[in-house]
Amino acid sequence: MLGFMDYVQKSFYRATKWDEDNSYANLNATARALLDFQTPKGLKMNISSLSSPNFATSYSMASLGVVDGSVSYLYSSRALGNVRNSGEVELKDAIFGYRDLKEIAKPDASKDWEIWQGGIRVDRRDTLLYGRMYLPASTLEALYLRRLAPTRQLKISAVSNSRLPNGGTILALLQQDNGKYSSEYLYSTDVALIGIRGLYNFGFDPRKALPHNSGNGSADSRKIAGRFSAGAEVYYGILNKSGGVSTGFRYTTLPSNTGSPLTMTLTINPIIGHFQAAYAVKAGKGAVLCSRYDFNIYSYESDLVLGCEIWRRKQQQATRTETGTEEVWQPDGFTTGGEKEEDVTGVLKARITQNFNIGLLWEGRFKQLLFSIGSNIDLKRRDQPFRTVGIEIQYNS
Amino acid sequence: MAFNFNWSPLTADPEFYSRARDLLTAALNKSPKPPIIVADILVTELNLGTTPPDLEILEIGDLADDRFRGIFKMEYSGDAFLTLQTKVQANPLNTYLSTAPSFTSPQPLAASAPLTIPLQITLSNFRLSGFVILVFSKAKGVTLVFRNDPLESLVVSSTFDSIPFIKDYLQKEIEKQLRNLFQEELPAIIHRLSLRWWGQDYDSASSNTLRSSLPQNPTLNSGPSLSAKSSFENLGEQAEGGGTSQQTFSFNNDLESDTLSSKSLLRLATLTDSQRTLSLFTPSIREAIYRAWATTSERSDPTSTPSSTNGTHSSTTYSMDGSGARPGLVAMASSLSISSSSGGLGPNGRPVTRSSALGKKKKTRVVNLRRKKDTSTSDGDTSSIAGSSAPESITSSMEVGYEDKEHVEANEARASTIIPEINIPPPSLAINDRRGDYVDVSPLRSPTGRDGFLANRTVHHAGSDTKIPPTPSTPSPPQQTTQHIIYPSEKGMPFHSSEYSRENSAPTSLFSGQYSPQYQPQQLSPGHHSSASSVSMENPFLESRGRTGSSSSIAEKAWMMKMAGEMARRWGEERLRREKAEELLDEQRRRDGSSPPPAYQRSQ
Repeated sequence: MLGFMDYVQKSFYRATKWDEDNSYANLNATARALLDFQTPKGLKMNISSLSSPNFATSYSMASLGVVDGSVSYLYSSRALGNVRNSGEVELKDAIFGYRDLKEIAKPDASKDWEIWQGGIRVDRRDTLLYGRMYLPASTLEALYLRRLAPTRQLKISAVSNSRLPNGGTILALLQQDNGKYSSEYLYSTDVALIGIRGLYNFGFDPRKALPHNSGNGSADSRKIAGRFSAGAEVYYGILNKSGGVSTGFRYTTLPSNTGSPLTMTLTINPIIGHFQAAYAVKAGKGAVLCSRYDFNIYSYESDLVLGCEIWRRKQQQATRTETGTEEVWQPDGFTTGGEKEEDVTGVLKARITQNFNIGLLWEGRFKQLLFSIGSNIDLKRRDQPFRTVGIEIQYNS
Repeated sequence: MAFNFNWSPLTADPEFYSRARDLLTAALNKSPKPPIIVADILVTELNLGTTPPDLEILEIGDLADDRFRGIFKMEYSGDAFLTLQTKVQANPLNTYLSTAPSFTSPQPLAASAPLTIPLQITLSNFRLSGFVILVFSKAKGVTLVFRNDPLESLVVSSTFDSIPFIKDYLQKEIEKQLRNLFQEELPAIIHRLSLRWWGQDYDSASSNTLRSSLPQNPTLNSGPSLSAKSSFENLGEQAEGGGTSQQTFSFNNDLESDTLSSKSLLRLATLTDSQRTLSLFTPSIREAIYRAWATTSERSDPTSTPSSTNGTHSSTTYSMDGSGARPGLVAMASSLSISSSSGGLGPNGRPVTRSSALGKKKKTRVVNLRRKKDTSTSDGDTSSIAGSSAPESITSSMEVGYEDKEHVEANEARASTIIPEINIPPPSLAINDRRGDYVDVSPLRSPTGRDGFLANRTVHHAGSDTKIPPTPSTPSPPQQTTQHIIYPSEKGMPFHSSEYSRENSAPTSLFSGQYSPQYQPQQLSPGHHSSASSVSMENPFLESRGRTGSSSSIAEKAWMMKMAGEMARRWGEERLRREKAEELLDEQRRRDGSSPPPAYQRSQ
């Protein structure tokens, strides 16, 4: 489940028209959401509030043997009217799941952002400030987010902790998103790591296409059933003189696709010889199946993870999903766009690895509370199969 | 003197290597590993080679049958080798990210993909050179410490020898780890190994302690051979708060633990505790009579209690009695008697003990005692006598005890004046008291002789105790829990004590004379106490005493004579040995021209 502050941050992206998914770092976000989800441990409670459209606070307390917690504050220069409380928020927004990628939007022109008042330019760049203090651990997290331009965003995050080398680290990330392609430049103080990431979307170029068919845009977009993206990243740590390289490809269907939505990714690390292929398909209105295969050509190490995500809905649809988790729906007449999200009551996520390690997570809403209950089960240990069990409760107002 | 170092038998033992491998593996995996190592480190091969290290004896600080302390210069350039196996993370980005906080992680997509590579490292061509301090005691095992960093060089060959960067890195890291191993882990490993080899009785002793912990168990004398290490160590731990004499106490542990039965020690400990905690519970000890239970005639002057064997206590006890207006423990009183006697006799107590004829002595002594107490002496005498008087005081106390019998009335009066009560002794005294207790309670001096249990030290008191009639059946404990002093059951051996003291006085005084100069400069009185006590402890001749068994006074006399001869002989041997050791020490000291390294100072 997305923390409230992450949710607010997402809302900030949405309000400032920043496409998070158009980044190489999020190339395999779908597979990660379906297979690498975190199961809660122990009892965790979050109480959050957006006290004003610009200011949010959140308190969390976790009890896992020892009680610890965190206090966080967030300030956004842009009024965030799109943030809903926990009773009203759409579960789709509060839960990581299958990413329905939208068509690339044409970025705003910089002159669109200009606001002139009496001959003086008064517009300001939107900024988000965020701080979080972990109490017994004495760890401080800080985030500074600024939309420098319609196509550019600066993100500076820092962690301060006395146990870290040099007392903490700062990561600066400059993101540029032109729709057709995006690039990111980062620098971390930890080992003086510099990095460049880039993503290129093949096919449709929103900058050129849109001006023509502004009138019949819907008809034009229907022609594009999917999108193929390729990207790469390069890192180099100046202090430890080591680096890393990877390249990745993704094919995903767009909402205009008439078949089952699916996402395929392949990432390759040529230095380490690591291949990772993931395939996720939406098998009906309420089920997503995903598999991922890892293979290393040098060490022959391999890993296979299978996972699924089932959305439970109210009324007659709910009964149908309950009957079988592996049930594949006919894709006929399937439409992603026209779904109503209000009737979703919960999401069940499950994954199993080749070591028979099972992760289960049930996320949903109970009255005004968002909750997630999860467990990690290791079938190889018969005596103690339940490795972790936990529940997380969130209340936002 | 010759030392014989066997290198090959070590390696001939087939189990040695597997055991050493296990220990090494455990040691290597104990400390937190760098994140690049993703699996346990396994020691797959270990070979000590055929070339033994060169050892040069620089100094021998202590040498006895069951103890050794020395310093060596060690040089090794042999053909030992060691092969380790582990798995390393070959992707540096993965290693880096595993240690970085996730909030500021750059979150690479696949650049941090893991790749674990099995790694085999062979360490060979060790070049070691360093100073080794070796302390061996039968009870405590072997302690081996490197005074400096012994590692001069070694050759590391690994799977990645073709990549110079990794090779250098590994070399550097492994040298670092090895230095740590030599200086911190290896001593622990060796100590554990040695405990396993020599300390089999360790376990049995502790289990025995459990079994025989019932106070009514008449096993006090029956377990002479048990090493009492465990209970004794507990005592030592308790005594750690005791301040000055703690070190010396622990030093003596070795000896005592070898000769005292754990059961007895446990009982003694209980006794001491009850005395110090106002507890009314007094464990009964067979064939011993508690002073508190004795008839009025036996209810003797506190001075007669032989409680503090170690004359060194005298100073502490004195300070206790300095507050003398308040009634003190019997033990304290007894120690007071010691101090008084020694004080009265002057720093050199020898003449007194020598001349101690029964009748006269007592009288003067009694007078002395009282005076001392009343005046609440904090005389400097005690300190002055500290060294030499220690053994002396023992004998004197014995005499006093003897005298008690004859002057019952006086004693009674005295006893009434000195109401035994529980005193909370100062921390330093606590130890002393405890020690005294050992001595007092040990019924082992009974010539019934079933006990090899006899602590050397305890024997000193034997004389005084012998007078008390036997009360094997333990009456219900009286209210004076403090009166923990026990008398062995044999009765009526006045000669025994006197003779004993007479015989004994010579050696003891000699001892003290011999040793006090040596230790006095180094140590304060508590420290000194240790030396004295240890000396007396070490006398092996005392052991034989317990074995000769006779209940009649004649037999006792004969036994005493025999003992006297034996003691003299043994003592002579002991002295020779000590002198030799001292010479060695002195020579070494002279050679060094400096104060000995800390490891050699006994009580530091």
